[in-house]
Amino acid sequence: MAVLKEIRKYRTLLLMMVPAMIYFLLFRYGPMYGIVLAFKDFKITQGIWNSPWAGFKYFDMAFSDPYFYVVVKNTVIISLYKLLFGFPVPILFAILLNEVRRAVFKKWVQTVSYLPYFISWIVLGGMFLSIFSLDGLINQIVQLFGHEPILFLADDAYFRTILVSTHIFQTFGWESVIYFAAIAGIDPQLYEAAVMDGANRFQRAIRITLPSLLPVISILFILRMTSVLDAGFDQIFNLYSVSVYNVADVIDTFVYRKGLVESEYSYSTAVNLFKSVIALVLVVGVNRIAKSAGGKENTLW
Amino acid sequence: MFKINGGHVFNFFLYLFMIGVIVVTLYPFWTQIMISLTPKDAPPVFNALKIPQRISFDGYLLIFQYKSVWVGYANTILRTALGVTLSLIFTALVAYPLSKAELPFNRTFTFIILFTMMFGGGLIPSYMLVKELHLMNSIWALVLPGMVEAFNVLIMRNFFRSLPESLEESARIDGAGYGTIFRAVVLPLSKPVLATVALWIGVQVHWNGWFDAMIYINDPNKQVLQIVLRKIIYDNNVQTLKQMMTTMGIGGKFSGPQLQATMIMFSVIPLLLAYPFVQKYFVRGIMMGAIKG
Amino acid sequence: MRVRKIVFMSLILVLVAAIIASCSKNNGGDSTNEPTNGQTESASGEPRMDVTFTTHNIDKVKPDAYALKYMQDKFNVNIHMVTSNGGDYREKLMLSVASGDIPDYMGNLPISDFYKLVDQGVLAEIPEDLIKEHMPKYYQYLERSIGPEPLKAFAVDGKNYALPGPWSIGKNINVVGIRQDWLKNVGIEKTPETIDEFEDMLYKFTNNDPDQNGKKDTYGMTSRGKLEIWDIFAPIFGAYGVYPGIFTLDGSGKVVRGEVEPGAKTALEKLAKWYKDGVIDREFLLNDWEEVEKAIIAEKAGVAQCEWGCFIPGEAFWEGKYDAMKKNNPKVNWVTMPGPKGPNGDYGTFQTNPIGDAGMFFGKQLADDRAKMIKYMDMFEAYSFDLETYVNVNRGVKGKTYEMTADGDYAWIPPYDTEEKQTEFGLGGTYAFPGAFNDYDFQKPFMTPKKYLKVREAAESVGVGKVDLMGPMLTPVNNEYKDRLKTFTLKSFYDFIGGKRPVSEFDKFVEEWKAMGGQKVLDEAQQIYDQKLK
Repeated sequence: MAVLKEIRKYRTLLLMMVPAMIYFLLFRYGPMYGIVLAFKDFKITQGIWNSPWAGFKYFDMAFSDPYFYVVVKNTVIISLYKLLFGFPVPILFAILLNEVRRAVFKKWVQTVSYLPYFISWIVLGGMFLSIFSLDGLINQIVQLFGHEPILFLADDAYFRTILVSTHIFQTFGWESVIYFAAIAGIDPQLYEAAVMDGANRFQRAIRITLPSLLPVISILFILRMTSVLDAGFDQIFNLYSVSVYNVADVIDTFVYRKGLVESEYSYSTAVNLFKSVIALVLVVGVNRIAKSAGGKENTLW
Repeated sequence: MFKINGGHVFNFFLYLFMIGVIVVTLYPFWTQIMISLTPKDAPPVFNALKIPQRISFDGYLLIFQYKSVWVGYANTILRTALGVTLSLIFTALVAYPLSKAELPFNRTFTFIILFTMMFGGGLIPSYMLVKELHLMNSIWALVLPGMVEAFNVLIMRNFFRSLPESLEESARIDGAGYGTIFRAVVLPLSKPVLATVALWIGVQVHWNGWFDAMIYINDPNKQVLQIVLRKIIYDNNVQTLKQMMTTMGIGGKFSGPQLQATMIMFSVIPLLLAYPFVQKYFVRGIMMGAIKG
Repeated sequence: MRVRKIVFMSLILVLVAAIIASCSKNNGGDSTNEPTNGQTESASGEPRMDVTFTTHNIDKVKPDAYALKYMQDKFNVNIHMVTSNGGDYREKLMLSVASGDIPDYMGNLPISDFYKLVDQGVLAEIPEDLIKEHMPKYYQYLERSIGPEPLKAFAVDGKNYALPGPWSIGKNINVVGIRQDWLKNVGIEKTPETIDEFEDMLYKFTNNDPDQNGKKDTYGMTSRGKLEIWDIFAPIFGAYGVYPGIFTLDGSGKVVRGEVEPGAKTALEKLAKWYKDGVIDREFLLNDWEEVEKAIIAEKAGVAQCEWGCFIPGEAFWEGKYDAMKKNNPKVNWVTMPGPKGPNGDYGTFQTNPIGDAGMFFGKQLADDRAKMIKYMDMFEAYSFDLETYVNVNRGVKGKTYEMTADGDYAWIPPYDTEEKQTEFGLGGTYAFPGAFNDYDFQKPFMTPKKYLKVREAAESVGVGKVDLMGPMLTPVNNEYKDRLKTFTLKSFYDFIGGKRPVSEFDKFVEEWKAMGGQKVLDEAQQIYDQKLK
């Protein structure tokens, strides 16, 4: 009866959790039976439960479809590119902006820089469509150099570059806020000592600022690794078109199209389940790494 | 002397670079403003760095008369207010107990919540659930299904965990229970993380959200702004635009790009106006939340 | 303690209350505009049937709209209007169907969806005899627009599930318009017929100052070219008997694609030469409708393909966008032709297959509710083919919203001469109940005043050419490859015409095209043709 006693002791805490737990059971676990769709031949007229079992047919279908690998590859590539190029930008930006001495100007730059973060991809997408269009700014520059205009958003040579750069455009300011905070937390005495030693600004940035940021950088990096299979549905969905599917189609857009557009519900559920399993493995793995590297403070559970 | 010069050169490029950052960031907005101000019969400016020959505010005046936009605004504001409030309450209520190591079954609860971060039932069962709860075509379909995000629970839990033990200890010695401590001690200290989560939910889930509205809302009187926008920005074929302009009773006065740009600006302007006011809260919030989180 | 409990309980209560509140507000259904008169019975005592129709303009639907009331009373039904608007309509419909919520009638979906729905058992069979019995005029219209056995192409295992909505004028819709006043200015007496005469004209339109403004600021012909292969100077390809971008039959009953036929090579050679000499629009690859329109209206180009309605007064049919240029420049005068004749006597341009989709279909629940299916069919038939119903729903009340002129035309009575007022009264396209059965012969008196009848009839019969054979067919192989092939073909055509790649490499292009999947696509089309269309 120790358990009952425990429950009595912590009944307030347990009661506090009730509303959210009801929510999770109803809205999150409630629909989870839908996962069986991945193992069924979905017949609309028979409903999910009564549709005939299909075993691993849809997984076989995915794993034997060369296009499935294209999609997985795109997802990982786009995600890693965003990580590779997008991750350092806010760090650099924070360090550089920290060098700006005029407080008012600094505040202005900062404020402007995280503005795009608040604009939806529906709107941003519309803006970029016009900037990269045939008579848009980029093509005007291209033409200045005497080249033919290029349909950038329909060209698989450029599409990923555009994805990565517009992603950076949207997020660098916002993500730099974290690093600003960390920089602000650095003990000023460290800098004073470095100045006394004759270190210049560049040396101070490399020797003091950067190392002080390392813990934050590593935590954020680990967190990012867990979502490698999320390449940015909203962004891609609002920018891509058939002509760039071979480089731009990612798991989420593929699942969306298979499911909602082509009505291949079982297949799309199977692919999505595949994604979930990988994500689970990644999260558990990363959590373990975090635990052994950074102690309990930084773990997810 | 050289050193000082070096500093000057560095400063020069630093400032130049920062001005560049501002220009690049603001440029897309600038072009949209210019396009939205160019009347149909004036030469198009598109994206050149120049000002249209003639400026006309017709676009904005006509959008003012487009009922769907206002309906969209009202619904978006409603869903944001309702959604953020409910999310914050539910999330904080579950995050606090989880921050207590002594809570029985803590790891189990955490895993139950975390599991939903990776696994979901997919579109059809979710859709059927919303339908069976009779939430279709109602604001609740946009508020309830995504109300508590596992990730936000984690952020809040970590924040609560990072608060100094001593504060709660002294309250407990004074005879306060968990409920009182949560209300009187923890919550007042948690404004930054609450602000951060509120802003995240408010902007990304509700203000900019469209997918759920696309699926669950059929009634144009309950539609949200982003869907109204999407219709104009992406259904960019001549036929739709023409049909829409006839619906709006504005005939062929507009060029497609102008109408789109006007709509874009129209949706962005309120954000731009509200932005300076909320800015200081979220900066503090994310600073606190992120370092700890 | 008590306070806390109250807080928690009230939270849960709020949640529950909210859910209940929204339940009672929407009876779990789609957004329906409540029927006008909540009556469940009519005067005759028979219960009113509930039917649902879609509209693309639900914002403007009013429960007391004249058209709604008229149909409700005439057919003893309660009509619910639901929206069919926006690019997401299809996705929403399919999702709703997948979750078991099947609407009574659906339509305007891509052909592949139709077959998928049939396969899933979601649709009700519509026996051909039932159509003949309850929609006789509709059936005649099918026969006129498609030919004998009009439903054959859609049959699945010998059963019919579709009510196709053919666009009867599609077969002859596209014509080539030439500025007749320019012809005169450059000294050409008769409208060019052969490709040589056509070429001569293009050069003169470019070099001989056809607009007589003393500047060399014109060229011969413009064309769309940005989005679809069939848009690229289609009449020129037509002169060599090929139709790029669509499936057509060659003389021997073989299914071919124009872009890889030998005729295309000759056409590309011509176009490359013209491109080099600047007699065709050098920016054609950037052109969508808007750009073509700009070039024509700015009087830079003297020749363009368009629907025949473009070149005759708007009152005579629809829009008349190029005829409207006369307002700014009274000298503008258009002459239309089907396209230049090639060396083998071939001519014509891309035309639209009257059957592009499967039209309307019924949800499976109507298979067990024959009475309701028939009710819908009666309403479709009346709306699209019964004069009295059509007039009431589209023109309203004689003496109030419309009157007959001395010529026998239908004329609006002000203030109902604006679309806004008509919609407000409850008439017109907002209440187009079945959606897409446009019998242009039937609708002629409403579209074209008597005095324009001759103009319209002359314009209607000019266009010839070929349509996409596979338009209404399910082509999975093609669906898989078509985007890749299209992108590749567009790029190659741009390069050939623009001189970046010599046309002598055309055969190499054909090889590449076939290797990329083109051959599979052709084989599939041939097979479908042999099975279903021959």
